[in-house]
Amino acid sequence: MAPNTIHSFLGSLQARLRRKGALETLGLFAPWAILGTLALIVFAALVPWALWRPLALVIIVAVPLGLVMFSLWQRGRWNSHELGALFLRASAPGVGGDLLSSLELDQAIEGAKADPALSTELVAVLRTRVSSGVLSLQPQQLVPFDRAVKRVCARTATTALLFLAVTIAWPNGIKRGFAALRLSTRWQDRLRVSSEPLVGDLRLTLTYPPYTRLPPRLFPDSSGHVVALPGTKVRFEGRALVSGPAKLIFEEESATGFDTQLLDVGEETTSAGRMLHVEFTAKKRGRYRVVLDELEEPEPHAIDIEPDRAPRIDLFAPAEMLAVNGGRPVELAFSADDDYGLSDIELVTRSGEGPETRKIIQRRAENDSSARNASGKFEWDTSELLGRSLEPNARIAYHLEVKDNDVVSGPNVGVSRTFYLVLDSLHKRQEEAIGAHQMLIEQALKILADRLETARSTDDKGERIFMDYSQIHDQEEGFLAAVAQAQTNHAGGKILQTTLGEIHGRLSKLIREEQTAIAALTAERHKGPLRASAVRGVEGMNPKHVAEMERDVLALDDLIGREQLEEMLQVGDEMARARDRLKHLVEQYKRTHDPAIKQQIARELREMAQKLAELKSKASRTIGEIPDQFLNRDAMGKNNLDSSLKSIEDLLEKGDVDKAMAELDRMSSQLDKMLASMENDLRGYRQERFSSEEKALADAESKLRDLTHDEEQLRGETESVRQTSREATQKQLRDQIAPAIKKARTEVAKMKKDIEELQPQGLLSPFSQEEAAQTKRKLEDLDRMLGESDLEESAALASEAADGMKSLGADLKRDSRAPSRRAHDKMESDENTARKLQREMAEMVPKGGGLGEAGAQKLSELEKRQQATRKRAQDLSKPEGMPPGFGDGIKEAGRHMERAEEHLRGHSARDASGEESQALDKLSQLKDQLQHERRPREQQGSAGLDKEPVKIPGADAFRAPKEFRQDLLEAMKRQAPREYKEQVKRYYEELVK
Amino acid sequence: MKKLLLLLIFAGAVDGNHAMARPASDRLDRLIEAWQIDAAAEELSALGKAKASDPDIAMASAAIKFQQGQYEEAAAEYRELLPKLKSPRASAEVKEMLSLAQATAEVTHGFVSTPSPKGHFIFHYAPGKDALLIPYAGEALDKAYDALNRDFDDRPSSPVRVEIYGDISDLAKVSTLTLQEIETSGTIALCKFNRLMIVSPRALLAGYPWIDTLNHEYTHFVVSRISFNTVPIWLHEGLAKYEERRWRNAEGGAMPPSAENLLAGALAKKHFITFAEMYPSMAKLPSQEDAALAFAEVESAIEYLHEKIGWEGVRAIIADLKSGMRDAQAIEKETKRSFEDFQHDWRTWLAGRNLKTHPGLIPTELKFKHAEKQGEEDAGQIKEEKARKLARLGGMLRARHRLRAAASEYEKAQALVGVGHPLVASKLARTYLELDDAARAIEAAIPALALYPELSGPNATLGEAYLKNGDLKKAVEYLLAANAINPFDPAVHCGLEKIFRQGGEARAEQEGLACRELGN
Repeated sequence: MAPNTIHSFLGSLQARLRRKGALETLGLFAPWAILGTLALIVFAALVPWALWRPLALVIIVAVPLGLVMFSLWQRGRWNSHELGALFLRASAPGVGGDLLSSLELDQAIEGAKADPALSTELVAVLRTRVSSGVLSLQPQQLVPFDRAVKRVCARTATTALLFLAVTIAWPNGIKRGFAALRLSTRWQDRLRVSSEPLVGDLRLTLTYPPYTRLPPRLFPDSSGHVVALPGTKVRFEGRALVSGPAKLIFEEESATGFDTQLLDVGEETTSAGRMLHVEFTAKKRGRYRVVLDELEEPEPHAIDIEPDRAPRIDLFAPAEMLAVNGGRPVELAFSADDDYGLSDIELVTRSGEGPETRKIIQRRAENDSSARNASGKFEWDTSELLGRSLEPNARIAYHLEVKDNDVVSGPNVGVSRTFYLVLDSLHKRQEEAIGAHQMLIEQALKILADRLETARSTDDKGERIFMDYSQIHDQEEGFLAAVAQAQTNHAGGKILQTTLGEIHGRLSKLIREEQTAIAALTAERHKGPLRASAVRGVEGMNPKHVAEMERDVLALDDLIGREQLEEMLQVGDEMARARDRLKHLVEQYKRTHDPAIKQQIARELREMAQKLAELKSKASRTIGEIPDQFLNRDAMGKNNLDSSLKSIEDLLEKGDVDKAMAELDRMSSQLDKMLASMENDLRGYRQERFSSEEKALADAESKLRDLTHDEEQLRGETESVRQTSREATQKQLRDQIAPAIKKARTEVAKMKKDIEELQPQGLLSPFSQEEAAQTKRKLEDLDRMLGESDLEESAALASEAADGMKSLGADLKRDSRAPSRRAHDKMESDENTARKLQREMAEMVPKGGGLGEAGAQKLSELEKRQQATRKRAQDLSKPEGMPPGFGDGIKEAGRHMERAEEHLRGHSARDASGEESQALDKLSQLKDQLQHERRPREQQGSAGLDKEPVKIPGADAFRAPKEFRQDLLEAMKRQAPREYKEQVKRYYEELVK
Repeated sequence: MKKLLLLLIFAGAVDGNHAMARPASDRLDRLIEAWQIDAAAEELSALGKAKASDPDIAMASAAIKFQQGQYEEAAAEYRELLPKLKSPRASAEVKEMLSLAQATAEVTHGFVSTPSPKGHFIFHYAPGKDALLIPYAGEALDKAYDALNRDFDDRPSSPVRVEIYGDISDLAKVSTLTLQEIETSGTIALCKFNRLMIVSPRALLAGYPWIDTLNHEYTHFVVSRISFNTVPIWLHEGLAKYEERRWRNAEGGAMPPSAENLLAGALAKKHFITFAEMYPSMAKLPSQEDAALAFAEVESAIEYLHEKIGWEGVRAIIADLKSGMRDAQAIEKETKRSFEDFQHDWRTWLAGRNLKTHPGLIPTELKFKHAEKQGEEDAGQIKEEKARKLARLGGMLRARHRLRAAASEYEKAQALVGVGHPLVASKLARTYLELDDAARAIEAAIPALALYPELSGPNATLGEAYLKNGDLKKAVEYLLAANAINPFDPAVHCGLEKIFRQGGEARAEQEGLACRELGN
């Protein structure tokens, strides 16, 4: 038993000693390994030496090997029990000595088998004592680890911290040292910075994103610095100055620094040398470097991103805060521009904290996404706002938004300044106005009743009569003041104002007369009570006052009745507009099934229902106010419109759009019928109550119709003469002019080809592209006219084509690049050719235009008829009661007729026909104006029913941007057909105001 | 061959059956055409079910049901019959009848029925306001039943069906007239298909002489029955017009001023609507004015005839017509004058009556409530512009209870248009009445009533004025006259209630109820 205890103890002790030895070995090697590595890296970083890497490899192999050897050696140190016992003797001399003796005796006993002098019993006693001695010993106490561990940790940590400190303090050096030792696996770490340029003759080609429609741009002799729009494709080309494999390091900025990619570089050998090329897309700011044979360029090339700026949009409105009655259009204007092209422009409205509502006011042209600026005016139909559940006098913020076409980074949005609109209740004001006028009637009726009843009075006491008339006189003065007040308020329409003015004029005269009489009687009363005979004078004035009051009451009542009917019609009109919007929306919804449109539909349906209720309420209020025959049963609610609206809503909710559309059609025709009937009521009312005014308008309309008819005949006959003479000319000259025509057509074909060639070269601005297309069409028309031997038309078209080419040339001249210069020269030459053609064609037209005697006679006859028609037109400008501007319109038509006469006299059928057409246009406008005037609902002069848009103060205040005006001015240079010249001119003038 | 023979025998049997049925259907048709519906129904019943398969008899059966007021059953029979018909003409006829039966069933759906006090008539009407008419209609028609029995010696064997419609469009649906024809001619009632049809006076703005009209239509009914529907239109309408006031008068006739004016004008212009022009219906005449002249002519012709040959002669003429004579022959036989001479004599007689024209007399036209446009406003009926404006002012002042001032304006208007102007006189009289000046109200209303007895306004005003004056007898007379024109005027019933209560009459309850119901 004892020998086992001793051996076991010694085994444990030896194992512990071996572990401690290993720990000490680690404590010795680790710091030195770290220090050695650091030193190696530092030296490698500091001292360029080709043998660093082999040296490092030797060390990498030798150090672990040494470590293993040393460990084995350490392990071998504690292999025998004797060594363990010796250690124990040194640590615990008593037990250790006995233990060593015991071991020695054990060996001796094994030998004593041959030497009987040794006592085995004594050895056993010793062993037992040793055994009991070692039992009290712990190997952990004998061989403690604490200090060894601390030492190892301290040394290793110190050296590791030193390594770390050097790495932090000198990262590039460490990196370089690693790289020199080839210890890193990353390709970047293997690169070395070249002290010399690696690539020469740099050339960049930038291909911009397609939405910009910019042509690719080449930068020869570039520094390599890229400045581009996001999404631009960059082609880098350069000549390699160093041999070896080529790569390109492409780095883009990221949140954590740079995202790096190593791009393959293509190459080809040319006479200039080894040419490298590589392509990348610049999306973000970054840099790039060429690497040749693990040498990188000394400085990277920067990539700077030029952002696509957000579009700019300016909104022009009548006022920053505008109070407007709902339904009245508001004129708005805008100008927008973007560096690369505009998309849809939207009107954004918002009431209070409510959701925004958007409406596209200008869509991006399908084929012209490159339009860089847009400008225009539009009338915003504010009645669409009425469909929303707005508070009375709600303030609505509105602005315009425009997006660009950036599909790379997403569209940029330009936002205009915000304006505000307060929806005033027109109908409320109308009702108030009608209420005020009703009050006037009530006042007048009271005075009338008092006067009539006083006259019937059997009271013959002068004093009583005087008192009564004095009182009535005071009331009448009050009425006069109220009339004056109503005039000042400008409530009601022009006719009402005129009527009030007339009432005021007549009544004030009567009041003055009566006042004089009353004043005289008042003076007389001081002498004593008045007798009946004394008041005869005042009594005698009463019938005149009664007649005046009767007249006033009837006049005001007539006007109020009309106002009420007109107001109802206006509501009907608003319903019709809402119906039109609804139709459009339902059609859109059918196509798109867009939930937003469905919401809009619901709003419009609500508005219609609201209007219907309003109409019913207004119609009901007319009962007793206007004669029964002018009351409208449909408007009073005896219609199915309500149920139709409900049905449409239900059908849409069920998703049955087709049936909803059918129901909408039914509702629509019912509404039209109702409106027509209401219109008829008002017309009838006006005919009965305002017969003279109505008659004057009807007469004028009839005369205008006759005039238009006659002018149309004149134009038709003039055209016929022109056609006949043209055919005659063509027939007569066909053989003579054939060679010239053939030559001209060849020239036209060349000019057309020149224009066609401009397009693919990308030399034209978007505006000029349109101009080029138009000029090409003109040339095609010219070719056709030449084919028909129509010299007059050919001359006109040649002139128009020349103008187009002049405009194109001017655009090309602004670009100094060689292709543009060449194209400009061609355009200039073509313009001259076209002008020459125009002159030649004009010269070939025979004098008199081939009219012949019969044609000339016919034109003379037409001239006389035109003269007669003009005189009739002049007569029409005289009658009173015509709408504003009617007389001027007639005069303008007359001027066109006069010019037509001159052209007919000069046997120029073509020009005469043009003037006749313009006269007809004017007459047609006037006819519309009269119809509009006679159409009672749009009666002019009724401020309450004013449907004129709220204009931007002084239309001149809106100035289109310079570029836009420039475009328009260019467009103005193009010749319009003669018939439309004047109109086109006015149109452009209006646009660029 | 055997099969072919059997087929021929069967076909022959079918034809044979049809041939045997033919006289029966003809008899039925004749009875129906002769307005002998009860007899036709008996005949049909006698034929039994065996004959029901015959299309002609089935058609007659449906017609009998239709004329008996069994519209849905009639429609069902017509519907069933339609596919069996091969003749396009018969199909078209049945289709037309089917549509009429369906429309009538639709219009009368939900109607209630009430017999007249003596049970001679059964009224069918929509429940509601029209129930108010029944006691008056029943009483008047029962009286007319007796009076016409005396004149024509006829008592319908079963109660006469009377239908009252709420709107003229309903009348258009149940008749063969169009709405336009009804509006143009002023047709408001019809006697057709073995029944009397009238439009309720509530469908018109100021009512119309609806009891006279019922009486008028009942006369048609009697004449059609006794003549087997052989009386020409002029005689038919003449008799009906002459007899329309028999429910209240001992004798027929009594030409109103409007008719007198029309006849005087026709005599002066020598322009009459000929008897031939009146065919096939007065309702087909181009205007209400032409129709009014035609009625005035035939009424006076009957008056002349009655004066000449009495009721006995008239009945003889009807009997002659029933026997197959033409009107000219019958007239000649009974008057001993040729038809032309008769007409000449009648015109001479008419000229000898010294008929007066009433310058400015306004033809009273029916004003339908349902029409798209009601026509001119009240004041708009006054042709003179100044008077029209004054009347308008009068209306405005009256609406504001400035009655004395209103009266002044109406007086000024009356000074311009004359005392007989119905509108101005009515308004003025009504204003006086509101001013508690009954005497002046009577003074203002009487001239207008003399010219326009068919207007309810002056009658009602006079009734109220006399009531205020305490002359209850006259008050009842005028109020009842007003009620016979516009029974939906609450003032009339309120006045009658007051009078009947004073007399302790049971009718006071009925009038009180009407007064309250209509007043609300």
